[in-house]
Amino acid sequence: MLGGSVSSGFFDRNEAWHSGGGSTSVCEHTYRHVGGASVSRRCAAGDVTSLCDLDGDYLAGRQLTGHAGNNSNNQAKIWGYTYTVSPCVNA
Amino acid sequence: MTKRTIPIVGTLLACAAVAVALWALNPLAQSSATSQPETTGAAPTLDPALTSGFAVFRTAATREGVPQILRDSPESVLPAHSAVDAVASEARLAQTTSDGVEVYLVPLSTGGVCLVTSSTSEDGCATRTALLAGEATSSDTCSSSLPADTIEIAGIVPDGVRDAVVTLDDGTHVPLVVRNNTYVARFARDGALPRTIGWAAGDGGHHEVDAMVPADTATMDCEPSGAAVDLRDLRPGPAPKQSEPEGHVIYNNG
Repeated sequence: MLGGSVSSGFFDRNEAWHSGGGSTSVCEHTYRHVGGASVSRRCAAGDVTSLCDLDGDYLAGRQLTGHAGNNSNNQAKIWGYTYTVSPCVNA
Repeated sequence: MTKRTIPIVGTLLACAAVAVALWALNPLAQSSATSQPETTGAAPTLDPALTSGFAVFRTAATREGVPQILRDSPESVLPAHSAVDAVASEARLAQTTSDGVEVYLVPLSTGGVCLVTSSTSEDGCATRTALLAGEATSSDTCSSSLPADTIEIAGIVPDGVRDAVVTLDDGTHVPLVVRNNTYVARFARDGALPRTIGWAAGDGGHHEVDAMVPADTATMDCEPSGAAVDLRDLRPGPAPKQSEPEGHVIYNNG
C-alpha cells in the first residue's frame, strides 16, 4: 500500500475510506502493537471496515495499530477511523 | 348583504389576499411546502445508472434472501462512513456460492454499492465512479472470516461481461464465475495470487482491472483473533455502543 497513516490504541474497529467520488482502492490494515502480527486487512473501492476481526484482541486488552492506506497508483486523500463498538454486532 | 357589510367583507378579502401574498413570498414557507413530499413516505429510488447497467438491480427487491440485520439495521454491519447512505430496502441477494456463502448488494443513495457476504469476509462499498468504471473490486487478505492460509477477492461487474478470468502473479489464468453481476473467489495464500481481473465487455473490448491484492500478501503474518460471524444468525438489537475517547480517532494521510 502507498502512504497512509496510523492510529494506535485500544479499539475494535478500523475503517478506511477515501473522500471524493473517484475510483481508488483503499485498505484498512490492523496489526498488533507488540509483535506486529496482522489481525485484519481488507480492501475495497471506496470504504471498508474490519467489522469483528479485532474483537479477540480488544477483549484481551491488546494494543492495536490501525492503518488506512491507498492501494491504487493515483493520488487520493485516504481517511481512517478507529473506534470501539460494544458489542461488535448484536448477536 | 347590506351596504354596511360590503366594506367589512371587502376588508377581510383584502387581508386574506395580503396574507397569501406574504406566505408565498416567505422562503421558509415555500421551502417547507416543497420539501415536505420528499420526506414523507416516498419510496426510495435507485440510481438509473444502476438499473440500466446492472441486471441484478432490475430484479424486484424482496425481503426474502436478505438477512434481517442487513435490512433493518445496516449501520450495525456496514462501514460506518457509508451506512448512513444505505438504501437497505433495495438490498439484493445476488448469488450463493458453491460453498454456501451468500453475496448481498446494498445500494447507497450516493450511487455507490456495498458488497457484503454472509460470512462477513467481504464488507466494503464501492463508489459510483468505481462501479461504473468496472473497478468495484475488493479483497480480504486477513480476517477472522477466512482461514489464515486463504485470501479472497470479490467484486461487482456491469452487464455484458463474458469470459472473465483472474490472472495470477505467475501468469496463469483462472476462469472467474460471474453471477448476477458479482463474483467471489478464494485462493491459497502460499500459491499464485490474483493480480488482475479481465473480461470481454459488452462493447467487444477487453477490460482489465487490478485485483487489489496488496503485494506483500503472501508473506504477511496473519493471526486473526475475532470470532467468525454469519450475518444470517444475527438479529437487530439495541444500537451498539461506541466508547470514547480512547480508540475513537479519525486520521488521514493528507
